[in-house]
Amino acid sequence: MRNELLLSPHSSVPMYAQIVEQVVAKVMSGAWQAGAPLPSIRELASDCQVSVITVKRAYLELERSGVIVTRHGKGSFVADALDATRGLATAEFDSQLQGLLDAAARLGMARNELLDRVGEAFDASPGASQSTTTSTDKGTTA
Amino acid sequence: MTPAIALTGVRKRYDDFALHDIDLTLPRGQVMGLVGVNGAGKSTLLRLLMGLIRADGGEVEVLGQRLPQAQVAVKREIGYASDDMRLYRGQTLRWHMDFIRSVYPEWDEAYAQTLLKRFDLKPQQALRGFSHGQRVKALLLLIFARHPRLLLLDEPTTGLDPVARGEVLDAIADVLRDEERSILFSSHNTADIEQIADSITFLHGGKVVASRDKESFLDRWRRIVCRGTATDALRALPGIASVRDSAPLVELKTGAFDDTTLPTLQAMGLSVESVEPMPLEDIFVTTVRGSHNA
Amino acid sequence: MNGFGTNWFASDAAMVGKLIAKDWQVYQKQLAGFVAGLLLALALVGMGTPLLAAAGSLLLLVLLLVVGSYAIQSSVMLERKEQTQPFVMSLPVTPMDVFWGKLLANLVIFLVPFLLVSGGLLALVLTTPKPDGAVPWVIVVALFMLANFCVSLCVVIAVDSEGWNVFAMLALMTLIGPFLYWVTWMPGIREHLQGDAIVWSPQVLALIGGELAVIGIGILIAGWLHARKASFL
Repeated sequence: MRNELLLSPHSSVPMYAQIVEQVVAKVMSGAWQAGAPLPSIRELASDCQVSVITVKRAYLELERSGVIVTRHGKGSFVADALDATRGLATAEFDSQLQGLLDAAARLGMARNELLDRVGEAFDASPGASQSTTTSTDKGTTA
Repeated sequence: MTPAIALTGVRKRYDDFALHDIDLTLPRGQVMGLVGVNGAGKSTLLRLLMGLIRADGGEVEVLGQRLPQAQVAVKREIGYASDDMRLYRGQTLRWHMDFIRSVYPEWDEAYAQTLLKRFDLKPQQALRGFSHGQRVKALLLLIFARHPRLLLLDEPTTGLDPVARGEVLDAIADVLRDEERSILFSSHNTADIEQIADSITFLHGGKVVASRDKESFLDRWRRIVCRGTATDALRALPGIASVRDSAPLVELKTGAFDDTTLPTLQAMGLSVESVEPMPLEDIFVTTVRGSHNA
Repeated sequence: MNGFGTNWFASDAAMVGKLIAKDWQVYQKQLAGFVAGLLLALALVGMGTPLLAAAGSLLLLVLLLVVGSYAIQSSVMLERKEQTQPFVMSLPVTPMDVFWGKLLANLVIFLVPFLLVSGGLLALVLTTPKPDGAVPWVIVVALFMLANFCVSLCVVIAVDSEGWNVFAMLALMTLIGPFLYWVTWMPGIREHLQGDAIVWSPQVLALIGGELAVIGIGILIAGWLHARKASFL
């Protein structure tokens, strides 16, 4: 059974990012259920006619966000329900963060200034007083 | 795990062309795309790997065996197709299939039948009646149906109409499933390489200019449009491959994009308007043009 | 990697056999045409009147020449031009395999009409009222044709230039006329031609020996030159 994602070689979105988006979409819609096995990297690469390395990169991203888990020797699986939801939110966050970083880069904003601005915005936002600094998951992005 | 291909310090000299100090490794189970202008040495490299020509120096190891000593054993496992290869015009495709089947025990008749339908080829037709595209597909069919461990393809999609090109890429994508099988192919259709290759090797003037995995290779290249003036200092920045200015904008293309690039531009007084990745075709042309101007 | 030793022989006899079969199959239709022509010529020779016999013999020689050169041209020279060489070279073969394949394939392809003509002529001479003394002459001429073919073939296999190939083939063909004249009038042959006894005179034996030697040397030289090629291209 072929797993075909709807990928476009002409999009300005890099291929690996398209794969990430589509897998996220499948998990969100329930097409790929929690705990279900993902197609192997090679299978997906072959079915979608993209390079293995691109699929590997996508799977790595998905795992970093917690959308999927990889069990050594057994392959990759959609994360369990609770983890998956958190994973999806994390993936969304990562995507927004990248957008923020791109915008900052266009302004030529240095790291310190960026962090200052983020800090200010965070302090000013409604949910500021509630959250404590819980950075438990996969570490902070550089 | 022995690599599918390992070239060390390979040299080959002809009257008006030479390959210098070629170091190249293709790990098993990977697809490598070879990019370069006509005459850069792609075909020579592929012939060296097939044992059709002998290197003047250096070591050529294919599937763990030395060439040209082990050429027969190695050729049993390689499928090679090149632009200048022709089949017997007076014979049918079926005759060629039977001939190949008699030589290679791994011939998969069922898969050959599948490919016949996919490629829309008539086995009982004599080769002289085949169009260019059909001939290329026939040659590839004869190779793919053997499931060789290594495929060496010289311009497999060049000259094919878009439909045929898609069919060939489809057949190439089939090979990806098997982690024991590797592919090295050269192509002018950089889109093919961008799509299906795991690594890219850039050949120019008989030398390897770059050889890296595709994702990190493409990650290093950006086209940046800024507001400001193009100064000599800008052109001299490491990695800058091209600078064009059309006041008030400056467009630059760099092959060494990293975290420091944008701050550096900022420090030079340029304000960045847009940053975008470059397609392989653009990278290819920019690199070649840049080396001409160097 | 050069010269004699293990590299001189084919690496895989089965593979060489397949190469021969391939050339045989590619050439089959043309061969059938030539064989038909040769049979017709033989019939002419056998039909009796000296004029028809002479015409038939001439036709036989010409056809044999054409068959030989056509075989060489189509299987070796044309293969170079039509670029089917890379296809053959990409098979699991060594350059020597290809050499033996080409040599033997062409010999086999030539032997069919050659044996037909020689055997047919011999049969005609022996079974009809024609003088049997012509048998050594037939053999000497036949072997000359074979040697001519072999040398042509060896030159074409060893030398890559089309110009030189054609030159060599034509030059060798022009030798046939003078040779025929020389042999027919040679002492040791001439006097026995009309007789009924088959005489193996020293001249006949020397000629046969020489022709066989030429064939052997031709193959050796071509093989040696080919074995020195470290690669196909």
